[in-house]
Amino acid sequence: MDSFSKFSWTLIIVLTIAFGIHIFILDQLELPLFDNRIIVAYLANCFLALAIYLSLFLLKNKMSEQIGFLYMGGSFVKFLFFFIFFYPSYKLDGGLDSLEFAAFFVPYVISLILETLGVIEFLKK
Amino acid sequence: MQSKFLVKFLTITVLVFSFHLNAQSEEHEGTPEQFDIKTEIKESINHHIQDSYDFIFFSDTEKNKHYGFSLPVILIDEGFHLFSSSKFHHGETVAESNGKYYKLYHNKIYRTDAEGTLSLDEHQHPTNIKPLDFSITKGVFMIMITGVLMLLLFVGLARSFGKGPIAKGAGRFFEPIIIYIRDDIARPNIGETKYKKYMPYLLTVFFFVWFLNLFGLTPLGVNVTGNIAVTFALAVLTFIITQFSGNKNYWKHIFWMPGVPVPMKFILAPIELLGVFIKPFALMIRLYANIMAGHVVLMSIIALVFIFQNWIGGALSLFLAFFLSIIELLVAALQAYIFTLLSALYFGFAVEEHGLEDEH
Repeated sequence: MDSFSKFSWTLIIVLTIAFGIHIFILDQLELPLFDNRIIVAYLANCFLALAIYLSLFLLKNKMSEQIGFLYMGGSFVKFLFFFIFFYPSYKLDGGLDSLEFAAFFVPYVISLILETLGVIEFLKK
Repeated sequence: MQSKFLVKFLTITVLVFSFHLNAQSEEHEGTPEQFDIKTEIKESINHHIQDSYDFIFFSDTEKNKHYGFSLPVILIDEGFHLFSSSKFHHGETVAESNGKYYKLYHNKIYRTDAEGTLSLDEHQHPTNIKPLDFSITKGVFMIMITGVLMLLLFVGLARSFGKGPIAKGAGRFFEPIIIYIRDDIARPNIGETKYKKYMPYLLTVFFFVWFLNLFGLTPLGVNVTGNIAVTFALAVLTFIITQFSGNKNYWKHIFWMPGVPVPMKFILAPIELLGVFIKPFALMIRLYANIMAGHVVLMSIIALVFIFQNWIGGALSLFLAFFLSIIELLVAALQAYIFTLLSALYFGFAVEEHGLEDEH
């Protein structure tokens, strides 16, 4: 199994487990389960992480010196994505509350950690 | 040739703006407000440290007269709007442009109705639409002047070498500074083989910050490097150049620090990653805070004359202001030096090649 397939499976499994835990916590706290575009947020973070990792995977030899810069650029793209597609809808009711913040940033942080581990693998080679 | 052009440029600038100066010195209608001295001092200091839409040299608050010149206001608000800041009459009137009305309130432009009505929220902040503002403010104007000045000085310096090995005119003063930046900042921090490509940025940033710091010490009342937006832009440039220059070793030292036990690597990675952002952030705050604090302290000491209103207070204020101004002259150069040195240091970290010494 190449490193991209390994990363993809790990990311999908970890995000699925995190989504389950997230929904379970919301259920226990008697909060709305599928509000705040939570499904879209998990899917978007998953696809963006896969796209960023694929870019790093394809460019790891050609741009081995700039691999960290590409990783940082990827994180910037994700932030941009959040501010263009998620933030305006979260702001409609006045402000960004903790549930809205968690809906986007829980999958964001998880995929960021996995991306970072992926970059470390490339840097170690 | 260069000096002739400089004389022509300065003459035209003075003539153009002196026309506006006359236009601005008209007397404004209305009863002048009575300020108590402390409020007036506070307002004067605030006015000095903030950016503005016109270039005011001095004001006569009793007659409500302002001596200076207007600058162009450029707004994007459902179309392009360009008009002179004199239309605001220092915030007293509503400016009309292409059928839309704008009011200056606390140094910010808001879209209003023809009467200039501002709707304020519970915190007394206007809720009116704020247009996208690309105006040539006092700070932007001074940045342009500094840019032109640097271009004239250094193009002249470069050209003077075509005529012989020794710089001429002002170049004789600046050449040793350029050599100092190359030999004592760039070379030791970036390395002999890689320093050259960073020299244009390091020299530009040093002289840009230094000249603007010095302009801030003149009675022109400019405070460009004490504006956090300017220091932010400079820090972002250093950040981008550093990250773009970063080699594999640089990134490895951030994400997977060599030579430390594995558990420590996991602790160090987020700290190092934070450091990537903290370094330019510190650059931004350091320059901004030092210059801003210098201006506020100097202005406050000068203001002691008006608070004491006797010869002891006046003399004390004069002496303190004089010595502080000398210290500020040093700070102006020192802050430019520190910004340049730290930028060079960060570039050095980014391009440093690590050998076997990492494997300890």
